Amino acid sequence: MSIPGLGQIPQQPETASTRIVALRPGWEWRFHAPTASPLVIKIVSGTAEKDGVELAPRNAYTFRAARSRILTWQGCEIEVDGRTDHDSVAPYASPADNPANALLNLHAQLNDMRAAAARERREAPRVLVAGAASTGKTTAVRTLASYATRQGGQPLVVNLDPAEGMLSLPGSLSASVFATVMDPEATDGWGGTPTSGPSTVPVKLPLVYYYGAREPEKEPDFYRELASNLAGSVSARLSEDEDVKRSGVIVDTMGVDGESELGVDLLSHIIEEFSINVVVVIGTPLLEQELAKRFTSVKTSLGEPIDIVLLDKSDGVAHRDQNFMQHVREACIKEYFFGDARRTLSPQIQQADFDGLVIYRASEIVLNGFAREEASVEMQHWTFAIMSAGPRDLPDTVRASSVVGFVYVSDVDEERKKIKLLAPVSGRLGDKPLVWGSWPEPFINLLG
Amino acid sequence: MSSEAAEVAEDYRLALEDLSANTRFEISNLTVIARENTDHALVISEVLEKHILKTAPSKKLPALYVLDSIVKNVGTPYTLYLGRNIFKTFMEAYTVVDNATRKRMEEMLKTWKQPVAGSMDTRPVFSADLVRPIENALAKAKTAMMPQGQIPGRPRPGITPHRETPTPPGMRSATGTPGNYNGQMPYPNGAHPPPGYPGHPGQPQVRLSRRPYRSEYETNRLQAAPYPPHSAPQGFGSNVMPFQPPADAYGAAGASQQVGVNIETLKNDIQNLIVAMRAEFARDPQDVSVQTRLKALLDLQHIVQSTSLPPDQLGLIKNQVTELATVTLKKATSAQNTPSHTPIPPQHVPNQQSSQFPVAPSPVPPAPAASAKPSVTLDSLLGAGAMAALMARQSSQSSTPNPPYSSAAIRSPPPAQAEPVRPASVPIVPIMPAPAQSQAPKPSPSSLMDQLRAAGLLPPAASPAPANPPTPAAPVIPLNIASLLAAHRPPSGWGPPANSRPGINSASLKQQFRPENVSRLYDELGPPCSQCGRRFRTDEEGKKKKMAHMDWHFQVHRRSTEAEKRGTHRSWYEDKHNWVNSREVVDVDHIVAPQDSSTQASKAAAEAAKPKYIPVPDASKGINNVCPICQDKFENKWLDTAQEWVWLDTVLVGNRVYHASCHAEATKDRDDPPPRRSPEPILGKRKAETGLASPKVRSLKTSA
Repeated sequence: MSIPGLGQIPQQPETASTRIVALRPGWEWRFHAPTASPLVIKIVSGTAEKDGVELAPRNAYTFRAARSRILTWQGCEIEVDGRTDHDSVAPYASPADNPANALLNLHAQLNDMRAAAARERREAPRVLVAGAASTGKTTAVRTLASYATRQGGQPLVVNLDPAEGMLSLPGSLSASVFATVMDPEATDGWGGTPTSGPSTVPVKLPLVYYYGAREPEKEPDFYRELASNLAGSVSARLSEDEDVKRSGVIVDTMGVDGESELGVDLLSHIIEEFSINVVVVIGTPLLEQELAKRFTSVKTSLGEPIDIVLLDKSDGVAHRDQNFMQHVREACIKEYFFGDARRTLSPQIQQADFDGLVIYRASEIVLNGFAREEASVEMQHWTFAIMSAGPRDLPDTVRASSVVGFVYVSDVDEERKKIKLLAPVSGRLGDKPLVWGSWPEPFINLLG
Repeated sequence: MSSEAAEVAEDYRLALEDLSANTRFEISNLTVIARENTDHALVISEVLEKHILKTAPSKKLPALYVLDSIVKNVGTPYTLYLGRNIFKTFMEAYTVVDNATRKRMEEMLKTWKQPVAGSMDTRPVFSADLVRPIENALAKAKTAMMPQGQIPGRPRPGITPHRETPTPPGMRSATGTPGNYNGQMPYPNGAHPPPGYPGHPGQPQVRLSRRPYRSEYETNRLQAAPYPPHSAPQGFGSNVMPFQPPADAYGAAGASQQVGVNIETLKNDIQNLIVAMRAEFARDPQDVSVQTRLKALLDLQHIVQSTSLPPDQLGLIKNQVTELATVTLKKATSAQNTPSHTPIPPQHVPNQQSSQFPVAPSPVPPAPAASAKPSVTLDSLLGAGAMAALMARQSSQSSTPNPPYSSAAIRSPPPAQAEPVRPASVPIVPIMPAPAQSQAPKPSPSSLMDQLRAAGLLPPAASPAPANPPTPAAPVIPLNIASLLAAHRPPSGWGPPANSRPGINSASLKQQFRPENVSRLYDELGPPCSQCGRRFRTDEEGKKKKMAHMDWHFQVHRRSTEAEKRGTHRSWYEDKHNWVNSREVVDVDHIVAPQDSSTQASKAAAEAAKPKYIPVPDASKGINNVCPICQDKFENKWLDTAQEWVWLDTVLVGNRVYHASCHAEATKDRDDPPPRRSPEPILGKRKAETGLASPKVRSLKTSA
């Protein structure tokens, strides 16, 4: 059913002018916003949401390089202005046929669990969303979190998929409390982080760790360590922050298809570390079986049973090719330093001596995986994580410390032993250790 | 290094930078240049190595092909120079490129172990001790990547034309055997895919990735157009072909069944039908029957696509689809008539349609109460007989592949089954049709699933279905009861009833749509904020919250204009300690929010929030009226809160007045020794940060 072009009968290819898309309850409008020109949509009547975030009526929302959908539970009319690379209406015979309905019901059940937990002074549910790559995990996490926020909750969202970042750059693992509305227009789909200025959508405050590679399977031990670190911080926050405690945790994970033993092992590690008691598997029956095998008779550290739920993958999950994904990653890096259309930031280029920097390389090329590296011309165009550790800390401490921010290497002069770094904030960088991973990949044209 | 060498190097570097695709011409050109400048082989090698290291991942492959071409076609000095760093060059590139490119690189690596194709020299391109470390490293990397790396390779066409190889054939010795050479050197042709050359399905090469999608889209559009002529020659009369009695349908299927029905054609036909149906639907979106038929078709399409049905069933479906095509196109309403001919299986009662849409303020007029229109199922679509026949076939077939979602479907609900049906005692949820019979209020596609299940396509209904009569309800009942019971739970559902353990009731997740879940996220929360969509209740508390919220919006807008002038920058992330101790504050401007945890930060914040000013001093006191640091004159301002004339943003130090920011900046280095570089707490400190550090503040002051 997910054949591109299916819904395009009434629509002409040269759809540049303003048009109205009418949706009935349970339908969704799927679109690919082009990278070159903005796509502006307005909800003219009715209600609609994007990844669980309700769109304000008659507000213009601008999308660039996005592949997403607008879903309505009550019917709506959308005014669309601008060209799309592709768009279609998914007409479900009834709202129950839309796989998103299962998320809606799941949210209702989670909310009941939250209410029950609050009554009985227990822990609110910790939810983990798993599944193969491109099954809509992140969308599901965003939707569940957003629903909870809309009803006044403050869910703690954790991203453990280093391929894409949440409120941070790709290659990092992060956690943040979502007490305020998500930003439907955000480059990374989540929102913005604090700047020195105001933000029209409330900013979110992430705790960031840098894994530095795309696949968790590449360095499973280090990945486990970071996941445990993050779990420690999350549970500390839970135990001290009543509002968050009442809403629980929602964890997004890397794509695991159930065939890779290591992948399932890593997921199991996360489930244990975060005391997950609701596992949502999307569109990956094999993984569901594997996890059920391991966890049906297991209880969490709090003594609760672990529920494993298999949901259907939405037939509307957009195919995101490598080009598109790279574009999104680059857009995230750009947004980190320069802001977006609504909020322009002014990063600073600063020059540093080779000797003044402590740079570690995290890569499988390096023999033991993590070691000091002399600055070199190869670093050009890479983005480094600035760690919160001190310059004299041991490499392992540095690697496992949280991330303060990122710098981009704009130029390396090996003869003069100078390196030019683009930093978000003016002022000297100091001697915080920098980590050079293999992910995100170099971004050639950031300054071009 | 002579200036000539430097010149050659520079030229070569520029040429390399222009190389962005695997174009044979450019690669051969670069090879020729390298051959003609063997005097400068060292610098050229260096330039090339550097380029491969530095260039974007997408450009690495072409550059590697240049390297490959040079070592194979020019040889010696280059092989030596490039061989020295080949491990680093190769591996650095390998780490950052995508999987498709990696594959190419591995293929290239293979050729390096062998002698140059067609050459008299029997030595390998690079010696084994250069290549082996790379192979070892790759083997290690591969084990990590195995899961997604295992895409069944498409057999390489042995007759790959020359133009696909960037290394120009002319460069090779004339005695080379092209076939052999090409086998070894399967260069991708990312830039110029020849027609009919699909590329790796699972690993779209960057350039190719859009193609499949586009072409599919185009095909769809093409199919849509020629549809009517296609269906006309089918030979079915224009009259509504009554759905054949089961036996006939069966017979027809058997007769017309070609050996191996072309599944692609079938898919196309279904697709065409869907397209036509959609067009019809677009004409009359209110027509529920069209909508349901469309849905049934989509389901059918899904089944055909996701399941490998035995050929005879495909034949059957195909027949019915072609027939339906004629019917649909000639007479759109025929489907409504047909059910009268056919015994409707009991589970497909009409009138479910009206229940599908919640009664909500919807801009779209609600579906007409579909009283008269029966819900169309595959059965009524294709004729009840067809389904029955299909089932009959099915029951005799033992090994039928299960549709992929079977496991999900089966999973549903045994617990409910144990309970006796108790619809009478339970308040009926308003959206449900009266449950007179034990029928699932389900839309047609699920009944299609039911039938398939009954037919033995899905495991639970192992009992052979009788051939002729339409599906008996019996095998389907467990599911129906379950969904019925699920539907009859009180609205808040599984909630906290005493008997149920806290947890997720997965059975009820997918089965029905509960408008109350929607209204809890919408209407029950009150009207939305016109700026961000957040909803506020209309009670006292909600009003208060909304006030605070609108204030927040106002503040942000006001400060946004300020911030535009000043320039803003991204703040550092919080470290672990601060993050754990931070609290989300809704609708309070983050900048002035005091942070309870870090006393230092909150002090700074309080200080920063307080306007720094001094009352305009008496001129007789001889106090400077120009800032000693920036030489700007202080301006007299009336400060309402203080009810006096002041100099804003100033501090009195001893007997001299400074701009607060100038003074802070001037003394910053003294007060703030460099080692203190911990991330600055974001919540409290931000204003202070810009106030102190941003050089633009100063220029603002004069205008303020």
